[in-house]
Amino acid sequence: MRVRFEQVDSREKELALIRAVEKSADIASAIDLLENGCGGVTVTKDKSTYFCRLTQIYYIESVDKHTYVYTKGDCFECRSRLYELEEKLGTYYVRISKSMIVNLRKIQNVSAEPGGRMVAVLLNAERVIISRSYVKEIKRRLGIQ
Amino acid sequence: MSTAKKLFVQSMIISTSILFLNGINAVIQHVRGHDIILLWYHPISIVLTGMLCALPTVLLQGRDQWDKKTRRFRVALHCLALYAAVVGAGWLFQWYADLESWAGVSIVFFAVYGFVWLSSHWLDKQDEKKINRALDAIRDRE
Repeated sequence: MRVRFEQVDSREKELALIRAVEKSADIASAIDLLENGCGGVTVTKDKSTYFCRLTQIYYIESVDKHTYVYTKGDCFECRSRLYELEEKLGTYYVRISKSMIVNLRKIQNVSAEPGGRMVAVLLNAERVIISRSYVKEIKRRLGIQ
Repeated sequence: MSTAKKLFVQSMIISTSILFLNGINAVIQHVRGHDIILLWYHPISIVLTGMLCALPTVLLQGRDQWDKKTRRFRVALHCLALYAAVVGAGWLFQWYADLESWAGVSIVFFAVYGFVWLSSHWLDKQDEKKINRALDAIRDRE
């Protein structure tokens, strides 16, 4: 497959378009990599180290200078700080408060509350708060004007 | 944004809004043949009112973390504090000629306060719909 790279001057203009006959495993991997950035993060639990794929992560929370990674039914600790993870995670991982990053693909729905904040219900029925000041960035990531 | 900067920006917005409304009112009165006379303390009263009305904003800080009960209480407190600022400024700068004009301002105040909250909630609900539609397209299947 021929690959063409074109430089743009802002993140808003970034777009990857793949023209292919079928969505093969290689192309699916490429899409996953482009959407989710690096493949995963190294996490620990009960002194054991695991590799947590980004597609498994629901949200990441920082509590008392510790970073916790939450999957569907589990919680792990991560050595990286929230701002470090924010840089290496993909497009659909977005900051929703000072202490939390959520995977937009794991949100079932959002509902606006009086005062401007939103409540997001995740696929595992957990609820997380989206602060007012981060709603604009979520809209930008989702391509909403 | 720091609290001081927020209060300053709000003061400027409120002062400019009062000046704008007074400007429109002056034009309307002039067209109707009644010119408005600006006294020496009127410009400074507009600036001071802006500052007074910005102060209750402090009561709404950190509202993303509040539960429903706290939010209702703080918003009610903010509304009353803002009303006190408006009434206080009116009394201090002698804006109200009689009880009727004070009552008129009071009605307009509560109507505008309610309208601002309702309209901003309506805008948030529009965002909610747009976000939910966009999420439908990217959601993982589990």
